[in-house]
Amino acid sequence: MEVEHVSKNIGAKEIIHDLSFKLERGRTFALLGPNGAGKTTMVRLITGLLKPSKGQIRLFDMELTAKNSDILRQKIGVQNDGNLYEDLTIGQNLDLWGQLYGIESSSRKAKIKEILDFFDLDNRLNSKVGQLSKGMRQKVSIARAVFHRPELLILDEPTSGLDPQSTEELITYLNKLVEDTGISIIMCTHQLQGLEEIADDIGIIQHGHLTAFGSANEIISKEFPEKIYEIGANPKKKATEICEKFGKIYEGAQSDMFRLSITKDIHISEIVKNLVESDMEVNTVFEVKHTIKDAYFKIVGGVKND
Amino acid sequence: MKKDLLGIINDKAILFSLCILPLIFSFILPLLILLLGSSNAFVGSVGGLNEFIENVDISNFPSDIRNGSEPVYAILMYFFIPLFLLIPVMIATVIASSSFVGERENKTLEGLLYTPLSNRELVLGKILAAAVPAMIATLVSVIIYGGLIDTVGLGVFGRVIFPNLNWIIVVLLLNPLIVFLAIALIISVSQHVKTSKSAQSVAMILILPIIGGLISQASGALLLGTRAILLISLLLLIIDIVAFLFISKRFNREKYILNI
Repeated sequence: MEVEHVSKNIGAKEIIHDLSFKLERGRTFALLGPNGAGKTTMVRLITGLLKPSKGQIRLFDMELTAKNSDILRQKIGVQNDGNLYEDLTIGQNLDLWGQLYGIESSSRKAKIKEILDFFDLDNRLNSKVGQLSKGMRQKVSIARAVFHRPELLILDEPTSGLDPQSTEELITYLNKLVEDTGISIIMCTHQLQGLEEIADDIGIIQHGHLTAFGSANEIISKEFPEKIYEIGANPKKKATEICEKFGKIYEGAQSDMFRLSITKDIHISEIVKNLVESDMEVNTVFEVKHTIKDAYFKIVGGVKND
Repeated sequence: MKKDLLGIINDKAILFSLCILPLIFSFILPLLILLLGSSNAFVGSVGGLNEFIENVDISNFPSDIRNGSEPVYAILMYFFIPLFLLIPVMIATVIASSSFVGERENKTLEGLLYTPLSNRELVLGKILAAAVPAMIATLVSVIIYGGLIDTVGLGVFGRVIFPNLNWIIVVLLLNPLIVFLAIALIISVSQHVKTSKSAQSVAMILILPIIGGLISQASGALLLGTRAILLISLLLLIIDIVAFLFISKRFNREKYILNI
């Protein structure tokens, strides 16, 4: 999938501004951003529901147009909140979807069983969706999105409403799905914890602008070019005086430790050697790793709830 | 279409309201007429019925309909036909008003638009979803109506009189065509309204004069004969095809999604 200089105006307001990115086959792309940033509009543009005001979108080596969007949508599965038919049962919802995607009636029943088994919903086949908990509904909506084995799967807040165990199971399933089928995934999410494990590429969108794009490591390195080490050494005062030559000193996580931020091209082993040669007793040295959550909050601003 | 039908079956309130009008037209009214005859206070209370009886040309009636049974025959075989045109239109209007707009209100429309269904398939599916229950209800009503006339009416007419060729053409040809047009009009306006209630109100304003016109033409044509009904049907078929192609072409997913 390739998004090239896409802008979208709705009325007088520009919702998406000159947005470009590329998603290779078999990769997972997480689109992050605050509410109202333009994530849903982007999904609607990619699926051809909205037409870009400027730019173009290429899907499966074809330019997405009004004429071919129906055909291209056959290869896309979209999960979004609450689009299940609440007055129908889980089985009826899945069966209906199978029909809309042209799955033969002979194989629909077996496929429904297979997917419900996976999501641990096999005993809820005849339950009405309206009677399900939010987490279960979320599972059904994801099951429905992958039911026709799409080549591109778009997930909107897939872990919303899921308990930690179900979230873990879902991530395992999605990783397996990518591995087994080569499917590409676009995931709009607010779930920053553990995102590095599932997303190959991450994009951060704010007010319709793509403010960051790349792998988790690339984004983190760009936002935090310095390396931070937590050091525990005795005596602390003398150790901080020595370390000041190499970088900035901050408070440590514990009172007997401090943090050293290094931007110079110097290896930590040299700093430790310096401390030891100055008769310091070095107890602890470890690198404080930044996460995509840290990078996200640095980019979009706001308070990180650690 | 299957989803909409399941939704109707599951909603007992809608099912009940859809049964009331057909029950009145197909059973209660004709039974009263058959039992009370044409010269009574009830017939006098139905607007236009007395004038209809006075002006109807009985020369086209079957030769054995005589001895004072002509007015009742005229009412049951001619005057009632427009009522049976109204049944499917009313039912279809209720269902179609909440089809696309209802999906939007329930937030299920976007999911449907993400599927590979083309605009034509979507529009046709929604038209059929409203038309099929409306036509089923009409057919059941006609069967009840016919059964009533041919059993209770046996004492009045001395023989089975229902159905005649006009009724068969009206029920099987004219009815579906009028229903199709009514639903197509509702779907075309539903892009521009926000709730199913507004869709229903706009639909009523738009549909009833058009359908009323068509029905009054049909009543006249019925007295003129089979050829006139076939001509109206052909005209409606052309209008239906043009309306369907026009609506499918103008179907705008962006408008539905953004509700602008």
